[in-house]
This record gives sequence, C-alpha cells and structure tokens, in this order.
Amino acid sequence: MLRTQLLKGVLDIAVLAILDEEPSYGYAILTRLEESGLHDVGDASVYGTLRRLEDVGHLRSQMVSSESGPPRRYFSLTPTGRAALEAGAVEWGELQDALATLLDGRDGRGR
Amino acid sequence: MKLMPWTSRGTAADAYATAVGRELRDLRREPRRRLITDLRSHLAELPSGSDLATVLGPPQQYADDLRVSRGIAPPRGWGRIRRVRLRVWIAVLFALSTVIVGTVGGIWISRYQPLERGSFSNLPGAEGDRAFGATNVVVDYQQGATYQFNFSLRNSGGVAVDVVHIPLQQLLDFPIVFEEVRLEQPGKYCCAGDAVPFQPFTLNPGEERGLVFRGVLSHCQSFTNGAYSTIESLEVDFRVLGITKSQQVMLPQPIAVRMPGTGTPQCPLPRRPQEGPPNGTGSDTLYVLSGGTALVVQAIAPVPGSGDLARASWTRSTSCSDSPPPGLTAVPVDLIVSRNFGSAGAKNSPVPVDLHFAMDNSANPGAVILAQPESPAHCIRSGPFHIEQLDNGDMYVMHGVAELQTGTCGAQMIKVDANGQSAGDVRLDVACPPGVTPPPLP
Repeated sequence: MLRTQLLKGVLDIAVLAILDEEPSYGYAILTRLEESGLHDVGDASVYGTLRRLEDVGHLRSQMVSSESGPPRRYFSLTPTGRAALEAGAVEWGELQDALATLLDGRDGRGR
Repeated sequence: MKLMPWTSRGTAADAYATAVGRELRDLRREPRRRLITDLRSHLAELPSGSDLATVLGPPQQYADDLRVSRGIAPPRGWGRIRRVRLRVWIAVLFALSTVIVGTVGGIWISRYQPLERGSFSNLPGAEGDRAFGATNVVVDYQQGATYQFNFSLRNSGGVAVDVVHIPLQQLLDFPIVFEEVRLEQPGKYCCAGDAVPFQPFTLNPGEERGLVFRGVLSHCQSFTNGAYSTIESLEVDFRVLGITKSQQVMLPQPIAVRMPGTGTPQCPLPRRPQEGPPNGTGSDTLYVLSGGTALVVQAIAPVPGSGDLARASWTRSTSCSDSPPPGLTAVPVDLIVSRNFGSAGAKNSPVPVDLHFAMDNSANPGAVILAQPESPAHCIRSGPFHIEQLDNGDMYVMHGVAELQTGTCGAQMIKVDANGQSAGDVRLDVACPPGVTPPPLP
C-alpha cells in the first residue's frame, strides 16, 4: 500500500523520464515502467497521468498508424515538460537525500 | 508482440470503456465523453491474449485509478449513488415493489371481510328489544323443540370467494344446539324444501346464496330462570385468493333465547349432533385415553320423541397405562361431546367426527395452558383443532373435525404448554383398547 502511494507521487517524473528517452505510447510506457521494476502501476494510472500531463502542456501527442493494429497515440515531451522533468529530478534528489539522512540517523540509533 | 485484430480488440475495448464510463457518470457529460473516447483508443493499443477485465481489473477499480491519476475528485452524494449499476437499482426497486405490494396485499386480505347478510331472511320468533342495531327475535326455550331459520349470505366484496365451512361448534354455550346448516339452491331463499347439506360454494361479487340453520333447544343447564341468551353473528370460513379466513357475519336479527321463568328444564347432557350411531339405533363407545386415564365415552341414539338428540357421558378407567404428560398430572382432560357416527354404520371405515375436548384448568390456579395438536397420527387423520388458551381457573373447549375409524385404534398427540413452558404431550386415543370394558350408561 505504501509502495503504491509512493509510486503515485512520483509517477509524473517516471513517465516524463521515459518520454525523455523517446516518444512512446501508453502500453509501451507501462511496459517500460514494469521493466524498470515499477510493477504496481496500473494501466489506468499511466493513461490518466499521460492525459493529465498533456492537459497541462507537458506532453503533446499525435496519432501514428500501426501495421499490426489500430493507430497509436504517441506522446512526447514539450519544453515545459522537459523543464518539469528537470525540476522533478532535482526535487526527487533532494527528497531522497533528506529521507536517506533520516533513515541513516535511525540506523545509528539502532546500533 | 502479436495484437488482436483491430475490430475484435476495438469491440472489447469499447465494452470495457463503456463499463468504465458508467462508473464515471457523476462527471459532466462532455468531459466524460472525451475521456471515454480517448480511453477506447488507448485500450485498443493493449495486446491481445487476455480479457481486459482480467488484465486491467474491474472497470470500477480502473475508473477509481483514473480519477486519482487525472486529479478528478471521487464521486460524492448523488454522484456516488449514480455509480451503482442500473440493474442493481432495478433489483432494489423490484424487491421494494414486491415488499410493498405484498404488505399492502397482506393487509388488504387480513382485513377483507366481504360477507354479509343478503336480501332475504326468516327468523321465527317474537319481536323483542332492540339490540346490536336490530330488533331481537325472541325464542322461548322449550326443551327439545326445533328451531330453524334462514337467511341469504351475500358477497359484498369485489372478488369471488369460496365459502368453505360454517363451524357450528362455535355455539356450544348457546341454548340452541345447531345441528345442521343446509344450502339452498342458487336463486332460492325460501322454504328449504330442496336445500342440500352444506358444501363449499362460490359467491361471486354481489351474489347471494340461501342458508338454512336448524338447531334444537337442548342446552340450558348453564342458564338461570328467566335469563336471556343472545347470538348476533355466526362464524363463516371462506377462502379468497387462496387464503382461508374467518368472518363473523351478523345475523339479520339477533336471536335471543328466553329461559323459562320457573322450574328447571330437563337438560340432556352432551349432545351429539346430526346422525345417530350405526344403523340409527343402539349405542357406540369412544375411548379417550389421556394422561394415564382412559376416558370411556358412550353415546346412544336418541329415543324417538324424547327430545334428546343423543346422550353421551364419560367415565374414567385406569386400566390403560399411558404416561401422564410431565407437569400436567393435575390437568384432567374431559371429553364433552362426541361425533357423527355416519348413517351407513360401517365400522372400521373413516367417518367424519366432531371432537370437542374440554381441558379443565380449575385445579391449577395461576396456570396458563396452551393446547395445540401435533401431527395427526393413526386413525385421527385430520384437524384442525383450534388452539385454545386456558387461563387461570378457566375451562375451555378444544374442538375440531377429525376423521377416524371406529372400532380401531387411533391417536392424536396434543402438545400442551403450561405457563409458556412445554408440559409434554397429551395423547388422545379414540379406540377400543384391549381389556377395557365399556362402563354402563349413567
């Protein structure tokens, strides 16, 4: 449950990071998250996140025809999305450091 | 990765997206439409091989996740209610409708009292005082005299009813012992010449049927000189919409029986209505075993011209060894009056029997006794016995109609509760047990 809540908090950064590598579509993004070890993210969360990020201008999308199926909506970063990714990465680093400090202190008391 | 053909995947995606859309009905129409339209194309991108509901989870869960990820507030109030599936609402409404209809129907049936006296009546007697909204018919008690009256019974309700029974034993304490009710031919209300013994009949709405009641003035020991005893209604059992009910039907006029001013009329003890013993003469014997005591009941045919209908009495024998019911040793069971013997006189063949058992609770001050028949056994094949409550120091009569075989063993278990606690069973045998010699007539 905690993991799920944490993932929801950082899913924006994760999705932006994946799309920073290359434009992609919903299912491929979900697969990429799973390959990265984030198995607890559901399709609805990815789909909803993509739509929300697009609504706020961090992503743009276009339909691309596919030989093996229906057209796919490919998402890519906009400049504001890239800026959001940079800012998110900084925030995550700070958060990670802060949390590591707290947890290290806990380990010290334990010893 | 192999994908399902677009058309197939599109159909499954449409269905799943529609189901998700139902869970988002609290959203405004246009945002929801846009959301679902995009969702269809998104779902169509998913690989084939599994059912979408299996891969993605229930649509409701998907919709909930979608709300969170898109920053949509969870449903509140009416919106939450709207999320409940339509078929659930239909089921709830159907159940509520059924309960309401059942309740209203039950109340309606429980209060349905459609029978009333019809347009014809003939109650012989002198005109008396006005009581119960009508003028009494006064009948002077004359030991052994026959009293007969007619009236028509009408169905004033809007539904056809079957009149199934008119229990005459209801009038045990009335000076007129009603022996018989006869049924007039349809459309006839007078004279009873071609009336037939009562049999169940149907009364359509507004329809009437003539009834003839015949009784004998033969039960007066409970009344003092000059006293009046009045009845104003008769119980009629009827069936409507498959449910059997009882109703007290007001007589056209109350019948008041006036006791003689002086002297004590000779009152025969328990009477036997209708026909005499086998072949119309002689006597017959019933043995009623209860609580370790055999109640031996003898009945004899009426002596022509004597005014007696029949005599019956009882005595006790201890030659039978039934165990008394636990806790009820002090409760004597008495047989008041007996049976119809059947004119054919064939013993060992089932005959209808009116059984009237009295339970005397006067020896148990403070006790409240409930007697209720259990399943019929042996030769007494049917009830129903009425459930009676015996209050403190009181005596009530259990009565019912049973079918038994004369001259053979029969038993009826009667469950008895005293003060709300089970007091065991009273076994009533109507039979001729070996070794019991009928006592002489009183």
